[in-house]
Amino acid sequence: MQVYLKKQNFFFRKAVVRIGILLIAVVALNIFQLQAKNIFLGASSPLSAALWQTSGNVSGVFAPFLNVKKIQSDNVALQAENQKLLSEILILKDSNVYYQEYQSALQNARTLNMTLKPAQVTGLDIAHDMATINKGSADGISENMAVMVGQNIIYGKIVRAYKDFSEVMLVSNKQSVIDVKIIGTSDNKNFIYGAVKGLGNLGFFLDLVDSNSHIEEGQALATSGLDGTFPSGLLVGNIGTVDHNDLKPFQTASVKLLVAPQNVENVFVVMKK
Amino acid sequence: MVKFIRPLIITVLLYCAALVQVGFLPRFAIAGQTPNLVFIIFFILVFFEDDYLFFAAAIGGFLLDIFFFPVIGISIVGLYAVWGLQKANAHFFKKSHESRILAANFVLSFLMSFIFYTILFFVFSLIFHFPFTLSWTFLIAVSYNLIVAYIGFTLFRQLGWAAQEHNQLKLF
Repeated sequence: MQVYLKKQNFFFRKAVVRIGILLIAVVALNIFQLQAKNIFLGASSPLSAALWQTSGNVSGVFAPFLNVKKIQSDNVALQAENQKLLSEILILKDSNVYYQEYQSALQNARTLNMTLKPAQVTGLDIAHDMATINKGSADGISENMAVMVGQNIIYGKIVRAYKDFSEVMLVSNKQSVIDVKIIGTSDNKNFIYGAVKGLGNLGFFLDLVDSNSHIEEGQALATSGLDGTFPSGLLVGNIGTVDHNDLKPFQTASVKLLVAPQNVENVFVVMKK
Repeated sequence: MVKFIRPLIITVLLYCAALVQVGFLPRFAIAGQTPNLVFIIFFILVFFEDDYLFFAAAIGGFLLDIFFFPVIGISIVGLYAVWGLQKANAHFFKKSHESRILAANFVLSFLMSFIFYTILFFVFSLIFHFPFTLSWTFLIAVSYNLIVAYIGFTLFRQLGWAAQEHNQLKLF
């Protein structure tokens, strides 16, 4: 009986010691989280970057087999879009205002006079719409800097900068809200403004568009620069299905991605001036 | 020396799983869902093993927190909770060594643990204010994770790591 009690006491003490050590370690790791994550991500970076590139090659090989149906439907959609674009070209030629606005926005996006820092994506967490890049505070990167991919397409913003790495919150993150303007509105000379909000799982939608404004599928969205985080003129996506309800003060719309985050390997961090 | 081999193998296995999860699997996402490899490996260990689970939960949780979460400790708590749940499950449902029953037990236990783990993280996301999406794609996540977990379960048994003498299921 005494031996049993002693043995039980020994296991209890052992468990308490283990839990105590674990708690101290967790608290310490949270206090020194920036350093801990930087060291860990730094050590893992060569492997995760290699895996990221390998997965790109592997998915490229399997993609046509896995997406036969998608390719077929894309083909049909592209043909329809081609016809639509042809008709739009004619409309564009007729509408000088429409043409100028669209051109100036594109021009603006291309000549934003920004200092860019190239970086490489080392990991992607789709479940939380976050990515890791291989540049950090040592490279001059700080929180809230905008991140974009080539062709001035927005990717996300820096939410945490470690010494050699940074975490990027994707546009599709549920906590992401970006002020945007709608390009190609032919009914008046002013832009229509709205906000693109993240839905999670790489989805996002257009919200807060005045219900009196006329928006339609296919119109391009660009950052307005009103939020102060993103420079004006970065492309966000194209408007998908519009949900116009007279009972609601604002209209919403789905947004089509211009680039799939899974296929992005190189990004540019927009440095603060 | 032998004493350190198993924890070392568990650490390497979980670390490789975390790397694959963050660097390889996102391109194979279905409706934005990827398998949680660290969770799957931990669950297989919990299902078959009795030893080193405290250590495995700490390492697995730490890796998940470092790679995926803004607070270190939440995944560790999550994995301990799954361990506790599986312990309770094993207490109430006697483990059979008959192949089909064992497989069915694994599938049911995994489903229960995965749903429990996801609900736990939904609660954590409300407390610690990090984004967590719980929508219809959760069904895809469950299916995707279950398929990968079942492959892991089969491999684990096929490789002969699980079956050992005295009807005791051991890793090595």
